[in-house]
Amino acid sequence: MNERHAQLWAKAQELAGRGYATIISNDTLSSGETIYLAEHPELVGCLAQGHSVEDALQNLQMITVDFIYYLLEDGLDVPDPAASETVTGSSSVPLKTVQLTIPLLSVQEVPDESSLDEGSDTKMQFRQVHDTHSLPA
Amino acid sequence: MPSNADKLLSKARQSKAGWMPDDLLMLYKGFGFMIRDASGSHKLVSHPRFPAIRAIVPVHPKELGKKYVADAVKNIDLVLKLEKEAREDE
Repeated sequence: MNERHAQLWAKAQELAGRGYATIISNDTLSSGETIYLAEHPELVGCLAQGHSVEDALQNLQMITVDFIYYLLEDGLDVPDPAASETVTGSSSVPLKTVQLTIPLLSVQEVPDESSLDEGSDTKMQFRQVHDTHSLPA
Repeated sequence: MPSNADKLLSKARQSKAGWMPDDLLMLYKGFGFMIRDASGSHKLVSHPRFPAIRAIVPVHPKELGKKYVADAVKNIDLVLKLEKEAREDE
């Protein structure tokens, strides 16, 4: 590992830890199996797949550093996390709180027209917070 | 006569289901995207001329979620649009 690579990697790790919003959606494969997709809306193209929500989140965490690393390596801007009060998705409908056992995450079901894509049943938004709390229904 | 890349793009427009990682990477490559290694059996695809257009693709031997295919179509359409605009400006 050369020095430049190490520096970029360390910077990417630091930037990846800034608390990007996370959107989870599910999908059904041709086999009928349900899979989960996790993405950071601020980092367009940073999308991970898993056989469970936890697996998708774990994969997303892993590839987020790579994604940011390559943005840095290519001399591109790394988007900042959306402001904490910002809620993505179209929402004239009130958001609902969903109980999850994942620590340090609040989860909201977000009505979003893209969730109506072929085979995509549910879309939720996760936002990393510093303590676990419920959001208003 | 349509190229293999054009045929794949047409297939992707018609159906987002049943796509394997190798097929999606072939689609991206057919439209000039470069492919680089990322962690845990993932690849990063990006376009050399429009580097902001990029995506992560898992390379496990398993069908991909439809969003990967939908995103690939969007990315390729954007590249085609930008290339067309660049040609018109010349």
